[in-house]
Amino acid sequence: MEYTEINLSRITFEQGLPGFEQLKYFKVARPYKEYPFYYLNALEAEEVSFLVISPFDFNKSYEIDLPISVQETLEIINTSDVLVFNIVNCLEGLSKATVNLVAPVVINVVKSKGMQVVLDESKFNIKEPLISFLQQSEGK
Amino acid sequence: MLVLTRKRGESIHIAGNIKVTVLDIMGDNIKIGIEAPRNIDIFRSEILQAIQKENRQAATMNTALEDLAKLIKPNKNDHQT
Repeated sequence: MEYTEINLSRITFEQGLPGFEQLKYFKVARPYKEYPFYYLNALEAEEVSFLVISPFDFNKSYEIDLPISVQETLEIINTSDVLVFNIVNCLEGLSKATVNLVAPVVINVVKSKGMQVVLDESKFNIKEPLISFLQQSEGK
Repeated sequence: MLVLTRKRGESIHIAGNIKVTVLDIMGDNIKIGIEAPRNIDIFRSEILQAIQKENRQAATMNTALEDLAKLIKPNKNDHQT
């Protein structure tokens, strides 16, 4: 994917994010070209910054089924217009970092609209250990 | 909060296109049926609260990406072997 060709500098989250419902505008930045890690930064509050990963960079078995409500809200026509990110929680240090697979951040890059989607909690882990998730890219 | 008392099998209509029905009552458990347009999101409060908590924890950390990059670097090398 060519992230340089799309504008991720001002994405509208009409509903905010759970816990940050008042924040409506975010940007996605990739600080290192060589590493597929991203920041999701709130434009209205500098201190609100999420470390996110694009799950498909790492884990070929992670598959999500976007509900119709999400497709309508984000005006998704082509799945190729969609980027998916998962939020990393490093509260207890990087070695114990987890990634939230239940609630991916879904962005329609054409419309610059995004939302955090709640998937079936019986299928996905809200606290998936990050290291094991990353290492599944090796095809284990 | 609006409070309405309903019996088993009785319903409540919300905004003309959402219908909530009390299907069954078994002690502390109440089975609720919801009929709503497919563009209406419905999920348990616990999952939303859990996601709010995860987000608040995740947002307060400004992780050094360099450290994270170290985690992934061995994987990249492995791919080449």
